[in-house]
Amino acid sequence: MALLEQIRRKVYKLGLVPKITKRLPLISFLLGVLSCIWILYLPVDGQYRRTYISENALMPSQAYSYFRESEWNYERGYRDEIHKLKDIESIFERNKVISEWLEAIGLNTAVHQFHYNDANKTAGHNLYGLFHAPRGDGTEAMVLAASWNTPDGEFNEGGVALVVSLARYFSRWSIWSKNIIFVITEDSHYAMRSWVQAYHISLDLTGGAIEAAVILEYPGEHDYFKYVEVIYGGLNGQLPNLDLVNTAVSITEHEGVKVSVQKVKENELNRNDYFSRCKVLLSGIKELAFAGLKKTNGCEAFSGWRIQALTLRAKGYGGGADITTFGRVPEAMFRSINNLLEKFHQSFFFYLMLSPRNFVSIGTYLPSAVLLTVSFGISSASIILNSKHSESQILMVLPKSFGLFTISFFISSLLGVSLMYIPVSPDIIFRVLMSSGIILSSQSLNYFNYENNIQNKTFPMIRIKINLPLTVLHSLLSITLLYTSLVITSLLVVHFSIAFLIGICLLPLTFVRPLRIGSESLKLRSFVNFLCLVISCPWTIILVIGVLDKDFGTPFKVMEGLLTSWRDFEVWTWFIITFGWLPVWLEIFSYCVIS
Amino acid sequence: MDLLYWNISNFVVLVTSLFQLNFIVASCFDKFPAEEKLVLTPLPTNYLLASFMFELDSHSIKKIELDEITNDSNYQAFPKVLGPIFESTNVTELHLKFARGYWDAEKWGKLPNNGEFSGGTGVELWSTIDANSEEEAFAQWEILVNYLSGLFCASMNFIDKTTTTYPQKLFEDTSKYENRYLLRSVLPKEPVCTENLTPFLRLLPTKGKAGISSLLDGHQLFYSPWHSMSIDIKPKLNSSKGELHMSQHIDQLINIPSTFEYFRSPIPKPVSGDALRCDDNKRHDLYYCFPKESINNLSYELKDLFGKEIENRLLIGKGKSEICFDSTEEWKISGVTETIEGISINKEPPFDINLSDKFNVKIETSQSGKVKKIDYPNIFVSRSFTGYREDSGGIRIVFKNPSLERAVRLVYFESLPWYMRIYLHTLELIERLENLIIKEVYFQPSVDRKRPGQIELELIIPPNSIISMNYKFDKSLLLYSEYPPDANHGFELDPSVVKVIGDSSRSEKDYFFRTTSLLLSLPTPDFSMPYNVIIFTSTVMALTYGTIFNLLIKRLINEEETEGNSKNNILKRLKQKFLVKLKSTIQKNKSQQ
Repeated sequence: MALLEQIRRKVYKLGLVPKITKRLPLISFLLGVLSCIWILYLPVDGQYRRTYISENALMPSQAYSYFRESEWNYERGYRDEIHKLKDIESIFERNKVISEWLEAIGLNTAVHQFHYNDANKTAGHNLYGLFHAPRGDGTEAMVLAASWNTPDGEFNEGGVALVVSLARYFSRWSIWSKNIIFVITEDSHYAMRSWVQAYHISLDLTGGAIEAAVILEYPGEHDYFKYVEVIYGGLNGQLPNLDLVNTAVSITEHEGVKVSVQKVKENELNRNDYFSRCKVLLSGIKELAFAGLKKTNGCEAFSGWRIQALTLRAKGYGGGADITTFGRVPEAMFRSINNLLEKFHQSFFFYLMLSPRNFVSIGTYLPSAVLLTVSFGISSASIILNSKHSESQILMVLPKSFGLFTISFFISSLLGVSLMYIPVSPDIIFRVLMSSGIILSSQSLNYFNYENNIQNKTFPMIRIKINLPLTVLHSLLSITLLYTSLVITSLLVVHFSIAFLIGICLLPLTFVRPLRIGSESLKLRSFVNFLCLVISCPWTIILVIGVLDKDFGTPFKVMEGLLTSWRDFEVWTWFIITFGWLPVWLEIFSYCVIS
Repeated sequence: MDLLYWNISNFVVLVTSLFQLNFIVASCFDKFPAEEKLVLTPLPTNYLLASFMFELDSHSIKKIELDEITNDSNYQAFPKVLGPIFESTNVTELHLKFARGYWDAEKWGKLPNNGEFSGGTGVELWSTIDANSEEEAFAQWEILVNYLSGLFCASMNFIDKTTTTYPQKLFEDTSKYENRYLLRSVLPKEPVCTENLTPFLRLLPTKGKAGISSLLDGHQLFYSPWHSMSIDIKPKLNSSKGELHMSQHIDQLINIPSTFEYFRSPIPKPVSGDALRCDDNKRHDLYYCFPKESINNLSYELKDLFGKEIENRLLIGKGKSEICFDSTEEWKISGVTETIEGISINKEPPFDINLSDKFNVKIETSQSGKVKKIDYPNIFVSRSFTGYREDSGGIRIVFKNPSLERAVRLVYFESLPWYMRIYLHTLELIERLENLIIKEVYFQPSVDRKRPGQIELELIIPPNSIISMNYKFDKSLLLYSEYPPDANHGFELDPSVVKVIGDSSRSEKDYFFRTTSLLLSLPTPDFSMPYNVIIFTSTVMALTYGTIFNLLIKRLINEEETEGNSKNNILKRLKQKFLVKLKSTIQKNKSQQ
């Protein structure tokens, strides 16, 4: 205490408070930069950890796997028949054949019928078979799934054949203490999601609580592949328990096959240096933030019911590993999961992978987002502290500025919700939004408005607002920045990726400053404001993502994903944008224009 | 000719020896009212249902009457361990069931014996007790469950107020007796295993050493996909002396090919190329093989299926000891009797096994799919959880009546743990025909830590309909110490019981069956958290203590005083003196240079 007292006295003596107050904008900016550095520093040696199996009961690869040799013949037999089904367009007809096979094996099968939200598509059919656990009370289940078509549009011949031959193989074991459900869906996007939803709402044939799910992808009819991609994404910032991912990685490597996370290319599999780790890390953040907006890999479909799910994808042709090796991975994984008496709870649920065997846990990466929230908080404080208004003045105008903030919040949320239900194609919506975003931002070039008053006539609304005193504007800006800080704080733990990305995207808004008439740099200032507004506009970011991310291709796809992902997948991203991001942008925009 | 002569002479010897034997037996022992029976029923897709039944009557076991007869507590063949239960408590009936696995009614039809003796997953106990009040009945019940817990090596001692229910409509109507209470409890998590089988067999007059019970073996029984053991003790019908009737049942479902495969190798190891069973109609060569699943030819012996032979006979039983076979003409069955005199073969079931020292049954068919017409139940019921939240959820029960013209009247019974707070107003039927379907509701809400919730519904399910019933519940937080070990496993819910009320005009019996149990996941704390809390609290307390201590014992002075004091500080004065000296010496040195 004495020490603190001394420091306080020193600070007071040196007059640090006003000095620091003056430099608060700089501090805020530095914190933002530090946040980025923090993330980029994580892949440096010593900052990350090596993965380990936390739940002792899992014991991956401790038992010998027998899905080999003669099982390969059966697998080929099934695959040959499935190859013939490729020409049958109707999924219903295909499922009928598979259903007969599963019934012959001794499973109970059922067909789940669902409707696409797309009016052009006919009803979809998912097939599933239930194997009752010979040991155990039948209250828990594991899911082995494959879709007829992979997200890349290939025919998942090997995947479906593996599901059927593993069903046959598993049903001959007597060790299972959890029911096993074999699911074959039309695609790994909406069809699989609708099955999982129906399982928890309306299906009659159920096998208890699903503990874990493994989705298999083995496109093509070749026997050999090169390496395995482990895809572990979830929706709304959820990830499968790290133990499951570790189990998959450890088993695959035990089988002598290389593992790729975050779609690392084959030639980079052996690399484990700063840049490779950094790439995986950033890709992990990006994928998690956009999960559910693009074609999902299947594992996302299971997100949300305490189900740990991941997708195994065989990559490459003609490598050293054969299809039964690929089948032994789910076999050994199921044996591990079968050992569990409790649900997955030991290891991490929030983590970022750096390589198949390296990760950083939430405690290590979270500070970067915390720094961002602090940065916004400081900017907010700096606006009030440096505005030279008295406290009473600020307090007087608070209701007014809150009112203004509420209006913009209301407008943007109304816009957000209504856009989801407007039957207009996302292309048009995006074009309108983007152009309106640019036009609005250009309003901030008030400097030019003085020269020709035309624009002010086109937007008469703005003229009314011009009368607002500076106090209101300052408190409005401060409230807005504080709100941003709160949005990021509340998302921080549940959805780090989105919190971090929104924080970074909104950071330029802290540089927006009021125009002081008569100041020399008026032209420059208004141009900076314009730039900041354009950069932090959600539509600009969507445009950039759409162009850069190959999975999207166009920004229209991003828009489509945003608008439909709530309906199809219960993804909140669109709401986060319209409730957290857009109001802030609108507020700061109006602040710019009015000042 | 020789052979014929040999056979005849054999037969003569056999018959004479039998007479001799009977004579010896009769002269040595009394025969007791014991009877046993094994029924083998082939089911589709190469399954076999083996039902073991053991019936036994007791002499009167009430002490006073016992004294009159034998003058000591001799229960005769009736197990001596069970006697004291009935002596020391006012238990009038006792029903105990152990079961594991899944009976697929859509494939195999009704449960054996109309489901009267088949339990749901885990252990189920119900009993009627004569008592003056419910409390007294419960006190007796507690004695009973603790006694049975030790006897059957099951965790029945964990049965307490929070798991005990009082069914009203499900079993017999106790209202016709004065002061009779029916109590029931279920342990759905209890794994049934060998340690429950051994005490079960010990209750038999033959102790599992002779007669058909000698077939029973833990490995074989617990390998089966579904098995159920039950003990039912009731007062003997039309008897006034308080004599009891005990029936023990073991029903097991056996998958014949998989059992033999399991005996050959418990692990499904890869087989050699010529052992592959391929479908000839599909591509098959050195690499390709589409598996052929259906096996029509079956030929096996009971000895191989159970891994044991029937040895010795039930010599002390008055009743029969026989093996029955229940199937179509496509099945050839022969009983092989082995005595000292030789082997004889009987082709006409039922077989009386009391005629031999060793007995074996051979079963053969070339069309294993042709079995007796399956008697399907009138109704199928399935139950599952809905919702995904940690704080609330729902239950969905689906009733399927496939019959085109018959409506089904049933009683649906469900007991729910107190930490599942159900809302009866959310109970809804999807078909919106509440009044037509629900005839009567008996609902007892749960009391926290005291009583489980209980729902009993009398329903009429219209013909050709699928009706789903939903209700919602809240999950409550348990106290820290109330979580069981392995808390993250979740909490098992009792299987619900369905009684299909038989049509008395068709002289149908009531049919009982149970749904599967469910796993409820409650919000579970991180159990290492309290230690973190302790550490944080301790730190905060230490800091607070330090500050307050400082405030209390230190003198308050203003800033000037502090600075003034610091000038007079001895250390500072010393330091200044030293500095002055140092400076002067340096200056001296410089001037010297």
